[in-house]
Amino acid sequence: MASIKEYNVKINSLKNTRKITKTMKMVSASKLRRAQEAQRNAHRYAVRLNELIARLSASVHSGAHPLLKSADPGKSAHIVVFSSDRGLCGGFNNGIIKYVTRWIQENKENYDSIDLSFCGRRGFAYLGKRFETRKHYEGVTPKPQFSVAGDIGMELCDLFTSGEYGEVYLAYNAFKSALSQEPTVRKILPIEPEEVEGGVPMSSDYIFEPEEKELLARLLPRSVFFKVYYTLLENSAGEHGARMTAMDNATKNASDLIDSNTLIRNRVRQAAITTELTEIVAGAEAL
Amino acid sequence: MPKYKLSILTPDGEIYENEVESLVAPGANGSFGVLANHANMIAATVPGVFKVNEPDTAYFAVGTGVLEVLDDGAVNFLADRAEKAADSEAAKEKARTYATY
Repeated sequence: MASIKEYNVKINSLKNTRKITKTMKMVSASKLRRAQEAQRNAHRYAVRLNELIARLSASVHSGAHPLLKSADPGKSAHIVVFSSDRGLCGGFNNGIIKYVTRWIQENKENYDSIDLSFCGRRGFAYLGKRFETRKHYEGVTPKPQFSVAGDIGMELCDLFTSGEYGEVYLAYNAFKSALSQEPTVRKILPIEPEEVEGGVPMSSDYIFEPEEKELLARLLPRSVFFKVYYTLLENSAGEHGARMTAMDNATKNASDLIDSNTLIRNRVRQAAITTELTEIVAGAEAL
Repeated sequence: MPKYKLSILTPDGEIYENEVESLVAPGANGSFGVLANHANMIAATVPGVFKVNEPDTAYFAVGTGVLEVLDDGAVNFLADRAEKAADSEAAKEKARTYATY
């Protein structure tokens, strides 16, 4: 049996670990709150933007925009995989990695080839070695910014309009709640007609500058940028949520271990005292 | 001067909301102004200086966006990004760094 001292060392190191996990949990909780706040702000923008696009596309009758054109079947597909840059967030990254791997296996007959791009180091570290990789956007996940999402979105639109890829997908953890994230693969290009339909055509006394068609051409890429941005936000909220849960569990585990180790240590101490007492009593009797 | 409601909205949230007298926006086909009771309009804007008179003048550096004058005369401005600047020079300087797609 280990000595009392060894148990004390163990308990102390467990206490330190618990301090760290508890702090990480609190940090994640506050970051999660900020990420959710950003999501709420972004939502208001999205509502207005989509409404505007719907109304505009209802009044434009001629010629579809290049981003709306569905590609020929059998063309290659592009997936942007969103994960976190850091670990210690439970099954957050593993979940999306497994899901994407399975998705590619299931869908690979439908396309000539499937290429990947990455936002977030964890996904890149695993999937980057196993599949055809186009680009890794570094350092974009910790602080989602619309300008960054715009750059990524622009590249995706260019890849799509140049005909290099027939379809573009985003793979990410959809944020259900702080406790649960659901791996999702969602198509962003071509833009589905249903997304832009359903608007009420605008009255003819509206002034358009430039004309409606060109306005729509300016707005449609924005809806793609916005989807990338929102995905970055969801990814970041999910990461913090997952880390919060993981660290909460780690803290609980550390507490349990501390309790059980303390119990054993006390037992060892008691045993030592009993032995000592017996020795003294035995010694006194011998006199 | 009569006033109308202006709100500047970006994906990061609402940057500005107030009753204003007039604004000058960097339109895609040259800058334009909006006074109260303007006709319904949708206009695209490019990165540049967005000026607001309320009647104190405020300057914003704005990215690409779209401005809509609604039926009730209120103005919604959706921009990629917007930042308040001290004066028109500072706003111009800042807007120069914004992406133009």
